[in-house]
Amino acid sequence: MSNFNSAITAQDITKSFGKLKAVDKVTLSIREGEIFGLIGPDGAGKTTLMRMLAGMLTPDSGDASICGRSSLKQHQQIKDDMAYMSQKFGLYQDLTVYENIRLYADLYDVSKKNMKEQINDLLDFSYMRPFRNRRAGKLSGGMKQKLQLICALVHKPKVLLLDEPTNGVDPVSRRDFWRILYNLSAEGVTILVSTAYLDEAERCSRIALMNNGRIITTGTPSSVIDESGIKIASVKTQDNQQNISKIRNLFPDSSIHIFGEKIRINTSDYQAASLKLNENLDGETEITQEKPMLEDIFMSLQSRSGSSEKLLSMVSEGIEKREGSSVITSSLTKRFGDFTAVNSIELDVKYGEIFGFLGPNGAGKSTTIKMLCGLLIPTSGNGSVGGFDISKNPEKIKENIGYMSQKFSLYEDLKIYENIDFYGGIYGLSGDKLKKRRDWALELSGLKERSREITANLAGGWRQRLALACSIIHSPSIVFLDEPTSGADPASRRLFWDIISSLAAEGVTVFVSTHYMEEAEYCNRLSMIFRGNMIAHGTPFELKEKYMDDKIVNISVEQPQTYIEELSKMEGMNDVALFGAGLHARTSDPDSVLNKINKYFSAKSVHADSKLIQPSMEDVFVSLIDQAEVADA
Amino acid sequence: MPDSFSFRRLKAIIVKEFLHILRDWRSLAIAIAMPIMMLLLFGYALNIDLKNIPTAIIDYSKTPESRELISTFDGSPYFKIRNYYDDKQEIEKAIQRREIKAGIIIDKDFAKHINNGSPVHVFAVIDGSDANTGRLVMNYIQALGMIYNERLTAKKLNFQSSQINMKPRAWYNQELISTFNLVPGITAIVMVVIASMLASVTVAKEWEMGTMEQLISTPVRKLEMTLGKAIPLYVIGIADVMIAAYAGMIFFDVPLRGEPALVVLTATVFLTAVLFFGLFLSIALKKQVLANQIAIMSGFLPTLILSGFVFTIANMPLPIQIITHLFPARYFISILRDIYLKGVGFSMLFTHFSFLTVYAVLMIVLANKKLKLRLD
Repeated sequence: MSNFNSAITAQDITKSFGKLKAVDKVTLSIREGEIFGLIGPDGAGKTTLMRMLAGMLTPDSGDASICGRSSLKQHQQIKDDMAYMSQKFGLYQDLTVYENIRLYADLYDVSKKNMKEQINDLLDFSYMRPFRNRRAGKLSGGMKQKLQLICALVHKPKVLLLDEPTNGVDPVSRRDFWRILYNLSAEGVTILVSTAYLDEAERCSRIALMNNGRIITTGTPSSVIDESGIKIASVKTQDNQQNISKIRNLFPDSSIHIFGEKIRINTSDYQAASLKLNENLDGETEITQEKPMLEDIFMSLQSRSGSSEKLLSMVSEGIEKREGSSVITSSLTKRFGDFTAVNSIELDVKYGEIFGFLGPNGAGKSTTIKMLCGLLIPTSGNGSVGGFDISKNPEKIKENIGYMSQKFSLYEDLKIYENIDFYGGIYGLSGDKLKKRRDWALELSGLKERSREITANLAGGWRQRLALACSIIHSPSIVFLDEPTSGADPASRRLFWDIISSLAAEGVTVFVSTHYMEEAEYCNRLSMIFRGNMIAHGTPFELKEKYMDDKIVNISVEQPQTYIEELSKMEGMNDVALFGAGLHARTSDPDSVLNKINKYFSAKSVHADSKLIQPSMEDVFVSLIDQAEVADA
Repeated sequence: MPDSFSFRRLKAIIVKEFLHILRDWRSLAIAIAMPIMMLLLFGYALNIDLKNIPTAIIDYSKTPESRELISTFDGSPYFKIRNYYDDKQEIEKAIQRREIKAGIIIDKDFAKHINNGSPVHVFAVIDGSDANTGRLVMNYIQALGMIYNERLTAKKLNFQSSQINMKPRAWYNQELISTFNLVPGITAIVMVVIASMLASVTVAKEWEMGTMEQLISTPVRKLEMTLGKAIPLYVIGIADVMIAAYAGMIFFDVPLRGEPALVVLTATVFLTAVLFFGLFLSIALKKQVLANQIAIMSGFLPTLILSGFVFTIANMPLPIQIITHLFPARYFISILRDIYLKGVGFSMLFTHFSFLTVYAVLMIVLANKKLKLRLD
């Protein structure tokens, strides 16, 4: 074989669906043992590309290969060398963990001799042994994904194709999942993984950035960032909400967003940008240059259509400004049989606030939101929304709030404008008023030209924008958004948060749940929720300061996975985990541990850069979950 | 050989499908209870034999001759005389009140006409609001009239009434008990229901749930998949055949005169045909609800109506009779009836059996041809 070192290749591979070129002449070569990341916005063609590589979809032209065999002509043979993990959970919910694995072992004709031991090894390796006889349907999101990975690994494939394997998974399980991937890679398994989490992309040995069916750039994460030429100017002002419009006018072509306490500006010339900022901003400002993240590169891919400033200014049209508390609860509890889904939640949310609900899938976020929207009656405790009691006046609440459910709530077989009209009708709009709001909703969702298309045609991010527009078509002053950004690509997510900020700036309460930890930074205040309990609440800053007794040491080092085990054994070390491209070490004794880490790496003569940093939201969350689990046990 | 059929993979699919069925105990319970439910429902609700028809008499004649006619009715198990009236209008009212289904009116001149040999008229009024029952009552009355006539003639010619004694005897089903036809019909219906309820959704469900995408990434072959899905359903189907046979014996004394092995063999071929038809729909339509609806429309309904189970094929208009040949249940029911009631052997059933076999093979080929283990 001429290219045996390339475990996965593609040559000018192309696939169209009707007029849409899903994958357009992609050429790719992935070396044996690499972890290769595929990133790009929704509808970029990642899934189609993977399916063609796996020999499950016939390309229009071009070919691909797995371990030297053609995905086109030998699609049956490549199955022995390869495993593919689909984006949707592909296992049987009514079968137990073991039965699912056994099914796959038989389908792949795994040698029966050591099969039992091998399955047990895989279960141990993924910490799934205790759940061996549990039905797959009763596993948490993270465990489901691990199970699917085990089933993919049972025949010891040389190549793994993973389509967004960690989507919607809590951070603890994601870390665990990546630990397994690193181990596999160390054993020589080649892994192609697509992901919407850009911190995961930074862990890959190489990445390819895909957009509109084409690969735009390939390289190591840092080379992709360096070659982009993007610089980030980060500004801290007295009032970010007010200043961001000003900054948007100053840099009409740049991507600008609020992140934590800072406004970040995507620019190609930092010097010029900082000068311009200094001249135009009043009051105390602090301008620094930040290292761009992959997300910033991602953002630069998509030029925003039209002026985002205009879009954001119209978001809150027609909304009545109110003040005071909008959502109050005390001891709000919901039980389903023996299972306590929500346990004694206390909230006090004000108008104009972005209130975040942060937690993994199944933590109780949706149940709480459903109670607040009058869709579920609480088992005990009480609450009021917009001045109406949630148990006594659910109908009144429904008229006065906007609610966007986690599931896609629009009718796929209706046209886009028909969906808008339907929701307008439900909320009692008609005649001129409906017409006005319809135009507004089309503008907000960016679908003015496509209003007569069937809704089923819309890709992920667009659907979510349309669903949001429909849910606030009646200008409510309280809005509940249940995981509005789930499954959306980073660019759509950022736009979504811009829209949310604009709503809040006009006095709307936006109650939003998310499992993306970094999105917590967009919230004014938030609660962390885990197994139905509120385990922390406060501003993002407070959460990072108040709830973490331990300190975090960030270690930037090549091949970080190889050091986890030894570093964990150090005295005073509480936890070591992958974070972005490096490691985060959690310790209660930072000075001595930092010292030991430096000594450890210099003894190995490995170049590593370690420093004490402010914990990330993910660090806080993981450490709180650890504490909660210790308390449970 | 990567393209070879693997028994291990087949077994893996069979085990998985069995687990699905066992875990979905509601569907399983329905599948097992269905033959008994249907047998009882059809057996009692669709019972076409009439006995003790409530009848009223107006005897204007009041002679020994007329009393003899009345006793012919009263003595038969089919009629039960409820009332004697004097006025025709009372019969009408009684029918309206649903007290009686038939009224017999004997003329004043009845005995006189009999004795001088002129034609005699006896009027019968029948409740025709239920056409089927009405027709049966009419047939019974005519039959009794003939018996009376016969006796009369015999007496006139001074014959012993037993000299010519017509004893009608319906072969294979001596009392013409319609419940005897039930078991073959219900066996066919139950199998078609299993095919439309379980087989028609099984592949579509995998597409809808997203498990298919994962499954086709493995080396599984088409035949392993279709057979693996059909075999567990076949086991349920054969269990139902046995349940239907035993329940028929217990509840309705339906005898099985032929070879039980022949019943199982025929059921196997028929089940294969309908299960693969269900699988074909599931594969072709990829949507559970749609496949299920089409299976009911194209499988269950025609089987119920056109198979000769409820309605006699010979009484249907010719075009419909031709259409009945398209549905395998027709052959299956006819074979089962022959085995159950006539106890005939395989050689007699060859033609119908061949039809079934051709149909089954056709369905296996169609289902496997239609199945694509690819995403495009």
